[in-house]
Amino acid sequence: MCNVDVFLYADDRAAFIAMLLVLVPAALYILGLSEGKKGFVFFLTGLAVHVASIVFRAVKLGALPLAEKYDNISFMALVMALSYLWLRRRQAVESLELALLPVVATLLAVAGLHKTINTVSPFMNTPWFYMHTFFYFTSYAFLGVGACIGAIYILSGRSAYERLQYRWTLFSWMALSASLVVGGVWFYMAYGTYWLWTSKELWITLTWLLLGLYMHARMTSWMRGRPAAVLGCLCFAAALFTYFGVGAVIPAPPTQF
Amino acid sequence: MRAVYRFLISLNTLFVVFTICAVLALVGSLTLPANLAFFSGIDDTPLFKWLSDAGNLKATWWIFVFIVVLALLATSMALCIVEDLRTGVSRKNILQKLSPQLIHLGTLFVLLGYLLTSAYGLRADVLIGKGETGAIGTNASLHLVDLNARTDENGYFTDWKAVLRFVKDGVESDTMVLRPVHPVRVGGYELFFKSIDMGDEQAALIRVCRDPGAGWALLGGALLLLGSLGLAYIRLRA
Repeated sequence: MCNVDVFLYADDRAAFIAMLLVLVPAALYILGLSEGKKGFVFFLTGLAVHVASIVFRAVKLGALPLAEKYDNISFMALVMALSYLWLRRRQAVESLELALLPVVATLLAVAGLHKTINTVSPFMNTPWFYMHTFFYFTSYAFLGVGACIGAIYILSGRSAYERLQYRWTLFSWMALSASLVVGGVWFYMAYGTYWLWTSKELWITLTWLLLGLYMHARMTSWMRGRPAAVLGCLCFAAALFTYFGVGAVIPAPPTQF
Repeated sequence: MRAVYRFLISLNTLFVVFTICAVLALVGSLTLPANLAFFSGIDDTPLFKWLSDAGNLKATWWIFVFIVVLALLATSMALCIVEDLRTGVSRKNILQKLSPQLIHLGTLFVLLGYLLTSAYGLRADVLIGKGETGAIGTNASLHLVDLNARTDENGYFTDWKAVLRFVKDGVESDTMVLRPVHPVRVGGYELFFKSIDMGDEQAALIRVCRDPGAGWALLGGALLLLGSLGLAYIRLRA
């Protein structure tokens, strides 16, 4: 799946270090599930190593590390981890770590399976591209946090969590919209078009439409409670499938772009 | 008439339309890779021209349905804007009222932009060898004066540039430099550096466009962002 070539890593020291630098925090995030202060110390250590891994990549690339799959997934996981820290400080959701940290750790493990290339294509060498990926993966991260809160709501039935899920999903939709707008500008400047008829684009549209459906349903009180929470979680599933599934399950054609 | 109006501004209609759009996107994402060769030129030609040339309704029906459903969605959004602003906008609730409608208006402009591009746009790729000339249209051409590329230690391209002259009715323009993600506008065309071949026969693949919808789409995107920011502000204050 997705250009995985672990064995080649061993030949490339920088890539091997990069892989370790995401697998170590992944393990520490899992240890962060331990009860009490100890768990939180593990989490903070994991977060520190995670931030270090992103700094390492930035130095290696000489650019913002947002152009490769490894970096994108790692960045998404970082935003989720920081969101957890923020929510924890506010004591907003009980036992959030049980839902969120395994997702963060899994994302990092998946990031570690992707080979890094360390070259930024000339087409990506523009602030529009970096803004696009920044908003895009921030959006997915917020959606993931919202989905985790939604899952806890479905299990616990505490209505405050459902409202919180709505808030995170709203910000996710905003970030996704921003990402699509600046992404359109970037792609137009690169190739003279802001839309492509590909499976990937159609799935991104599908995710955006699902989010739009959720936003309308929730804003107008047409849908609340468990059905709304399930729809919010479905949006995250669609987002994950768009990123990981299209190309793996739905064959993506080799594109000239 | 009133029944049609009520149908178009109804939330139920909106949910049905959203769901149909999502299903069509799903159908399209499966149809495209299943008919790879057939769809290979869809992004190189404005949509309506491609559709009229392509035929094969069996593979393209979902795009036609998409267009019809999007037209319905656009009508519904336009009426919702009117309906919402008609009912009680005050200084107190202006942000609450305007933000979602700015998002709707932005989406409408993006759709309008794509409609104009699909109907009246021009898109063509020209492959030009170094020192050679490639025709664009009937009386214009591009002359590739020079071509340079930079690579990193692994041989990946890190940057490239083409030095070009635009020729119209036999008159050559001054030289201009075309680089990736830095389009150049000349003679009513926009030029994009799409790809490069630095092999034995050095050549540049240049996309030539006329896009009457791009400005509308950009305006739509800006309104969408503005509306989103308004919503974010309301939410953060709540």
